[in-house]
Amino acid sequence: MIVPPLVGWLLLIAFGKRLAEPTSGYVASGMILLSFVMAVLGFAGTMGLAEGKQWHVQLWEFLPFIGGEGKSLHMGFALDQLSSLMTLIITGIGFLIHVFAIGYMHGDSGFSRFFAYLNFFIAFMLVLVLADSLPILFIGWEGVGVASFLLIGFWYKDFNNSNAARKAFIVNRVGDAFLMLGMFLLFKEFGTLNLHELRESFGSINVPLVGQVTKNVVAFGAPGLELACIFLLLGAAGKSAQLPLSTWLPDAMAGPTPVSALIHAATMVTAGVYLVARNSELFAHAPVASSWVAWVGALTAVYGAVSAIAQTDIKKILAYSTVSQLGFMFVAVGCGAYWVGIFHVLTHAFFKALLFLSSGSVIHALEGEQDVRKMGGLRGALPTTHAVSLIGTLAIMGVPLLSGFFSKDAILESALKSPFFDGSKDAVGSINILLFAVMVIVATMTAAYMWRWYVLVFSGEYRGNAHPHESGAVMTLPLMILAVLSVIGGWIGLPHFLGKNANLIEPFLEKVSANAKGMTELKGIVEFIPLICSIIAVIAGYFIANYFYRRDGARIMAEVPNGFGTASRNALFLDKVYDFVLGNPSRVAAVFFGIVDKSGVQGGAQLLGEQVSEAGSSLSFWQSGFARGYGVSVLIGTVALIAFLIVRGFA
Amino acid sequence: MVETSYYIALAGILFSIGAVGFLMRRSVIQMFLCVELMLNSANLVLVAFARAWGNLEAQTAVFIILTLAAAEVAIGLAIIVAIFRKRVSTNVDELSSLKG
Repeated sequence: MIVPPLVGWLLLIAFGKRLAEPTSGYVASGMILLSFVMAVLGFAGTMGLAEGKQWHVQLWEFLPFIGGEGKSLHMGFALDQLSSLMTLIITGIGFLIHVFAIGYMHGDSGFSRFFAYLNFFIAFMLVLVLADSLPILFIGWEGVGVASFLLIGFWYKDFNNSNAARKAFIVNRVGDAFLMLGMFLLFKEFGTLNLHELRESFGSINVPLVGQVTKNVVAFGAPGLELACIFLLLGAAGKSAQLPLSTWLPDAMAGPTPVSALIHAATMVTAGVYLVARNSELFAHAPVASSWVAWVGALTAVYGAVSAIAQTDIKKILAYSTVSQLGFMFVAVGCGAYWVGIFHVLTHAFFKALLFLSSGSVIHALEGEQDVRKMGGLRGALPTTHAVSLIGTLAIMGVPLLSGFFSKDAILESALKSPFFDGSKDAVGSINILLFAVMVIVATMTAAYMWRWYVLVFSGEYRGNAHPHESGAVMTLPLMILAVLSVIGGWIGLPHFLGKNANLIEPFLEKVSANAKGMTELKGIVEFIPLICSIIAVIAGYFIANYFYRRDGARIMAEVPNGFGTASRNALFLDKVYDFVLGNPSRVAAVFFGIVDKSGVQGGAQLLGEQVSEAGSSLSFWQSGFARGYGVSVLIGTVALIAFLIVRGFA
Repeated sequence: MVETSYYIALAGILFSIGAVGFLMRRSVIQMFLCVELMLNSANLVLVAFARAWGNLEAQTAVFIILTLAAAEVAIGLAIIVAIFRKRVSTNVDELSSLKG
């Protein structure tokens, strides 16, 4: 499954310059389609796979005996329910976005390079989700980081773009460092980094490692596991743009729009959620770390939603929205509802890819205009794009029966049911209610900012001066497919009260993820509270956005931001805080070290060099070039040596 | 039996001729022959002492040196021929273009 995109990447890197423009796009898309077919086959295979089983291919062993006898690291891939679902998302949406990009990147001088990078990304993303152990996962993790870096800075001639790429890479590196710390700690505690073995070490007694592990956990105390999980959380926060490492994602929108859709909305940024869901057994046994996950997610959701409200860039609104939705996913996995997190990954991938591609279509139509204040009234000019965007907007707002509704409802429900706070089996705890309330507010804001996005772009009158035209079929077709998926994607996870068998995804994923013990059971009317709240949130958000933004064009242009607007537009000044706390000291340090380097190090080195060269030139007369002169030197030297030996005595 | 000291004296004379010749002559070929002379005087010392002390190892060493010298002569002469073709001269004092 990984092979086709890798082949595509190598092909395009090697021959990219020689292929005519659309060909390389077809090659790349074809490779992904091949992968997708394989992923479907794999998925069909895992449907019948029993609990706790997986298909496992071990390729080779590296670093044997790193931790003593029998504790080696293996290179291998594993396919189970969770990873097969992820491969479906990656290759399926990846394929649609590749096709879209053929139209979007038309005429770009880096056409082949772009597709080479995209294939490279898909290959490493597949490595990430198919890895059978954490180090392999880490390889994929870094690989997609590189791909992200390359694609954000794709138009590297603009200094801002390459800065954004660097920022993404550096912020990610902070998270990666924590992920590695987490891996080290896990290896110390469990003696293995194989995901399957890690999972097994909690469950059955048959695995020989278990006795040792239980002892270790007891001896080292639960804090060891908690700490490892918190490290993993910080690692995941880097890749998934959670607080405090969230600042890179909005800047990452500097890349071409298909990249934003593929990497920075649908796939790569969900790697953090995947990491937590993949290690669900660990997190299920680490209640403190899990509640951290949930609160980080909740705060990030608030942060993203607040920041999204007053943005003026069509893609930045969606970027902050992504940050916020990722927060939702973290809340889900932090509450022990691992299938819900992945469910939201799935639905979010559909509608956010759809929204990003639609905005790409809009930007394409408006010849590069990204300011929503200069849009409006595009409903008439771009009928297809308008229709699919409306579906996407409604889906992310959580309008009933669309995909976002079901996953968001499930997240709200899991916030109430989480066993990691003060809730018990029979009663909902007060912290659960607090978390729930926060998430309902964020859901309201989500509806508000997305409806604002829609209103500003599509309704009212056109406020710009380009000549919008609808995109071709190669771009609209993927949009339509994604729109259909955004509508029906949620139907695989219907709520429980519709019947036991209504939910298809939960039993499927529960075979590989942990069951957090002690979920509160919601009974009677309480069961419907999340549902009712989320519907109220949609309606409230809709009216708020309409009240503030459905006005005539002149006032939107003349709008003077108030205090809240400024804070939101600057994303709560988080970048400024970073600049002050980290930027200023390093600038001072840079100036200081610059002086030290110039005067001390460079001066010293130069002095040394000058001395040597002077010494050399003062002796250069010796190299006269006359062979017989050298002969005299040799003779004198030999005579002197022998004379010395004679005088001193031969002993 | 001839005294060992005679051999040593002969070797010393040969060596001196070689050394002086190397320093005085300008022709590369003559200098080269002088180097060979010095080398063989050293060989002579080796075999002389080998005979005096009944030691075979030194004689073995001489054979190795002779072999190496043959190889070295082949290379040396080849270089000289090459230089002569290039410069049409075998005067060492003219071959000083690599001086520092």
